[in-house]
Amino acid sequence: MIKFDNVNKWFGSHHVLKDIDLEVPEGKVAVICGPSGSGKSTLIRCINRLEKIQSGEIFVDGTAVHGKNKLTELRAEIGFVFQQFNLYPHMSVIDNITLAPTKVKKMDMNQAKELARELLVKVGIEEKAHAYPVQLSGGQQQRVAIARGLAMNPKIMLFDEPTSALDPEMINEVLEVMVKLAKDGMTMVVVTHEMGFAKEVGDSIVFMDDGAIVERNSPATFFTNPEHDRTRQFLNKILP
Amino acid sequence: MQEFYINSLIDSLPFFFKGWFITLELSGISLITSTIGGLILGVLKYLRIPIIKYIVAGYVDLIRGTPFLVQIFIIFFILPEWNINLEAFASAVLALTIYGIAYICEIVYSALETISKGQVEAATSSGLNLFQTLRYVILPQAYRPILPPLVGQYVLMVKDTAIVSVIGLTDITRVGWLTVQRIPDGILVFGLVGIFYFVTCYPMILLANHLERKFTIQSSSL
Amino acid sequence: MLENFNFRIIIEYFPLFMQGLWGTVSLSFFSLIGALLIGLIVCVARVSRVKIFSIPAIIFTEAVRSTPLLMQLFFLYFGLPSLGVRLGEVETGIIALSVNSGAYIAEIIRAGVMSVSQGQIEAATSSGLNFIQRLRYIVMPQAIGVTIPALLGQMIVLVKDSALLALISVLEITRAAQLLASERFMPAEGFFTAALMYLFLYYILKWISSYWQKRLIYTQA
Repeated sequence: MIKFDNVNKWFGSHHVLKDIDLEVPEGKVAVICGPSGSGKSTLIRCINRLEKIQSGEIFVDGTAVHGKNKLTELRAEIGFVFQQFNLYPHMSVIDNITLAPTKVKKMDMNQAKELARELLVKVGIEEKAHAYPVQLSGGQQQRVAIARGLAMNPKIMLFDEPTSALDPEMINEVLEVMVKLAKDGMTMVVVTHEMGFAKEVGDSIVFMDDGAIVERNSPATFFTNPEHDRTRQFLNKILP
Repeated sequence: MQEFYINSLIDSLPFFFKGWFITLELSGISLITSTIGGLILGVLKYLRIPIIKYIVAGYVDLIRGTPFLVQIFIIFFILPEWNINLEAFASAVLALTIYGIAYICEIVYSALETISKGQVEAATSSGLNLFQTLRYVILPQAYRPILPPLVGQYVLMVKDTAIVSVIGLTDITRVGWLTVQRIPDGILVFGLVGIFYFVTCYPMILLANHLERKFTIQSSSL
Repeated sequence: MLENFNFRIIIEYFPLFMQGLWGTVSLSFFSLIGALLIGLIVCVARVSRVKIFSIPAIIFTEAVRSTPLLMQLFFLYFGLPSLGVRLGEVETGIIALSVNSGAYIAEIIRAGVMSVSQGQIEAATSSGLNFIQRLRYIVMPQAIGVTIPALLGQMIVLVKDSALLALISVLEITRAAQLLASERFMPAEGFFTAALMYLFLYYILKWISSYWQKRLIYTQA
């Protein structure tokens, strides 16, 4: 479903992604972790071309992301959830969700609203349909952002540190939605340090450091018997 | 015809340079006078001295609420009625100064407002008098928020000197106006006038942009 | 010093001043419309990152901002006829004011555009909205709100700048004052009346502006 083929990226002279090879099969969940500055956010942002790459190629569903320009269609198939939610503050929750379906897919407004309500039920905040983002807590905003991503009926959902900006008591409500999504068979790439989540639904865990993939393993091996010292040091720091 | 115009325009170049010098002279003098006046008035407003506060506010509104053209007409035509006789150049400097002070005073005042009252309290608590507080604590910090908009204001004032051409001062705009009577190609003549303003103002705009970037980056990294 | 001030002459010229007031208001209004159009186009061209649009937009803005309005007015007034374009004084004046304010409004809107967070634009990009759609649904609705005070400030500038049209004989407040001054040799009466009328317009706009700013604070809270 997603395939990185020897991908390299530089910011100026800074080599931020080094020879990345990675595959995420359909219906699987890949969790990416690593210290800050290791390139994990950059990696996930390359998948829908929020960042450009200098060499190699990324394939989504067989289409080269950095090749010819079918970018809008491609992006419509990939939902993206940001650390800072990035809801549109001038629009109500329901307008946030219906914007892309009605404007990009030209979906009928009533149909889009129906869909938005279903999605809000799914993320558990149907009562907030007409609220504005500033009136919501961080956890609620992030759940709206997930609903917004799902509204385009994507084949893939990408999550870039979705719980890092949240107060501790709100992390679980967001993770629960993500777990449900994973169990429904969504293909997901998640950058996160929530190792409980990784254990529960992750099919593979990728550890990155200094722009390169250090280790990639199943959760069972990754947490109990990691291959690399650097992985072990990292786990010692973040696991309670 | 076009070629003839260009040739006679080249012959008039010394005339344009003379006009440009008048523009520069006017701008230079009134920038200095209005900066001094603006600083004093800005500080006075910041100190919130009761009566002065209202006088300053009224003056600023009066100047900011009326066109500079009207102000210069008032100074040039009405002062003589009150037996104050000034030459055109002096009237122009006076008008530009009165006008510039009103804007610079607001720049200085709002810059001073950005410095926390706590610092003023700390300084006076440690025994500094008002003048020392201004001199050592407030003004050394205030130059950062003051400089970028001040340079921006200078650009506006250089451009506004064009308006004094209406009272007969032969600045670069009036040179253009006189020349176009003789060489009736407005694009050519005022294009040339424009170049003189551009080489004067554009470096100042770049400087203002540079200062703004420099000072905002520094203050946000604090 | 005002003992010789002749109020009767002001009453006699009052209809002319009212025409002048109407002139100033309508000139400023039509110029604002023109300036908004120019400003919007120039701003979109500038943020488009397409060089054949953005470079002319930058040159236009910088050229206008580096030269005086009076010079621009003369450039058009004396220049358009030599290009074979014959327009009336009023039309020339409105064009000059629109072009001049358009460059400033382009910068005002650009600042509003820049105030919309990069993250929102990425979110919109990710869900497949194209450049125009992002501008129309995400950026502009937010940019307009925060730029209203600055636009009202530009409106104040426009009202004052329109005084320069008196120099090409367009009837507005300053022209009315000039006529009184030259026909009856009473500059004080003329220009003080003009100043009062401008102050009147200034306070109205200032009041609207502070009202809007208060509203803005309430809606953001």
